Amino acid sequence: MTEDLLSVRDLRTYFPTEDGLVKAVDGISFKIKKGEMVGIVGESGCGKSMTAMSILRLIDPPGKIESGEILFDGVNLTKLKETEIQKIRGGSISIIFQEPMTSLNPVFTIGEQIEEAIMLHQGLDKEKAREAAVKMLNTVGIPRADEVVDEYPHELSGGMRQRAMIAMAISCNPKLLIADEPTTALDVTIQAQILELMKDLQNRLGSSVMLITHDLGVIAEMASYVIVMYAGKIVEEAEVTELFKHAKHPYTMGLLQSKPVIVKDEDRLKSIPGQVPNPLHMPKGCYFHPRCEFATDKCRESQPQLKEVCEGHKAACWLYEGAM
Amino acid sequence: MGEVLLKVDDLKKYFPITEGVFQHTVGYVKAVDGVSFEINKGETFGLVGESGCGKTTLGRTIIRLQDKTEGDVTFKGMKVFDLKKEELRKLRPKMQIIFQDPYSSLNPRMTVGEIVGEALAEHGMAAGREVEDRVLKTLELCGLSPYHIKRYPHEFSGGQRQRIGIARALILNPDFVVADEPVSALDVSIQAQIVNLLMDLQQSYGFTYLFISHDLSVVKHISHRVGVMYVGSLVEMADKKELYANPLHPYTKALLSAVPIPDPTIKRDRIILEGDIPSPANPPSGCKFHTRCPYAMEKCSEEIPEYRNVGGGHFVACHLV
Repeated sequence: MTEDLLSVRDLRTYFPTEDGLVKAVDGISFKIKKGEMVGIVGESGCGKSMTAMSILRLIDPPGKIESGEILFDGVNLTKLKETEIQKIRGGSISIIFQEPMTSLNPVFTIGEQIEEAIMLHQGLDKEKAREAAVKMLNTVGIPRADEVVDEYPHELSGGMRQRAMIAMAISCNPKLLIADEPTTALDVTIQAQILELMKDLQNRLGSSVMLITHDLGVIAEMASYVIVMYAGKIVEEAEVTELFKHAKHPYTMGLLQSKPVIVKDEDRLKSIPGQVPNPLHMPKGCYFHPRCEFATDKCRESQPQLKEVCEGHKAACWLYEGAM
Repeated sequence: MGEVLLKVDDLKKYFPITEGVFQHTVGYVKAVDGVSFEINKGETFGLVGESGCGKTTLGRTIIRLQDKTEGDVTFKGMKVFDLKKEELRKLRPKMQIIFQDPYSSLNPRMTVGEIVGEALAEHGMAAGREVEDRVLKTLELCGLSPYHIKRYPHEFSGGQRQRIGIARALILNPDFVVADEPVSALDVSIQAQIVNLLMDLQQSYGFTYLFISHDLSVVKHISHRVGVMYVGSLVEMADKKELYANPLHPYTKALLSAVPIPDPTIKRDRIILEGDIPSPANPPSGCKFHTRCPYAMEKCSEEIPEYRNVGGGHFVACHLV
């Protein structure tokens, strides 16, 4: 049994708004083991990015972590002072964002942006940091690394920018790398390059990775363990093969069936009716019941808890009540 | 083989690159660079390609939302670019477009009823009560409710907005609809709803679609025939089944192998292309794909491969085939 690197317990991140309280992350618990790649999948607004931002303590006020624990390497991140979390952010936990154009600073060169993190976290001087930056750019497969280091983000293509972003993220040997939709903005051939690079780096560096995406294909290919989120809650989690072969929650099943698969021929896609509920007016009971074809009176009344439905497979659904 | 509805013949669309105070032209972005294909009545022609390959420009040029540089488009026997203003106006209701972004393509100051009904009145196809009746009927077809007619776009979710965009295009009972990435901005579960809607409407009313998308799985699902574009040109085109089972062009092969499959038990040999898509302002010589092609020979950088039928309506432009 490998050790847990990250353990999130009953995390709640809320945003007070004029119209009411938005529970972006609504009591979720999960673990990431050392060297493991965990995929978090869900549609827009399900709270997957807010989970990542909570771990890094990057929630913008008035939003805040209402309650819960984030244990990282034995330290509760929610209790750290701002100066302490700064040492972890970009150091032992780093993040790759979705949009490499908006997440890189346009007025600094690629090199300066990577060096900043290296100097800050590893205490190297400018010259050594620059050497390290060039080495990092080489590691992520950027050609002409010694020239690119002096170029600005706008001079690079989308794929190259994302590589630069990854170089920055891994420059301080993070224990946990959070990748928030790292390939969503990229074309499919470039996505293939970046996914290959991420797999290769994970093998070499042995970091744990939390991969956030809406693309089930990317999850199937990359992650070893999968967490499915819906409306701020975890609705299902299991090992990747188990989840894709024996999805339990009607939402997961719906997601899997609504995506056409390139190697299969479907006559008609099965769609999930309706839409994600408004976070200000969450339905009573199970949040998914208005869209669920199996919903019963019980689902409309009370909320199911996430629990084991068979060995190593958890789901939050009344259909499996008493399954184990 | 059905009746040909639309014929695109060596269509080119260049955008000038200007420089200096006097804006003199220093070069051209060859967004669409000699594309030919036909679409039959009642079929869905899927057009796939990566960003910047010119697929959107092609779609917009075909229905003459912008002028061509060279080439011809023939729609129901009429040369679209030879039509006079009045004639073109009469043709407009027959050729409609559904846009990608359901947020920016609807006027925020108009109600759904106005958005969907405007073109009907504008083209004199209905007036007064009849407009409202037809709007209500079309909204219902597109999965919206009668009370939505008085609402504004901001009150709708992305999927519902896309339904409004579809209703706006289909209320005119067009023969031909360009669907430009109609599901790309939507979540997976909503994508399936819209794809099903488009397919159902086609079945009931016999619409002909040009379905433009970068998503190879969706294109495969919805199309009858598929064309693959790379830097302004079609590199391969075939029947859907043929193209996906037996791709001939190295770019198509790489593209298909790059699509992640939501099944962890399927392991594939992936062809990873190196480098980036070349700029259409300065496309490579010879075959435009030779800079990234794993099988490139000397000939590929010198000679433009001919786009030709290799049998059974399977077209490909590659020296290797």
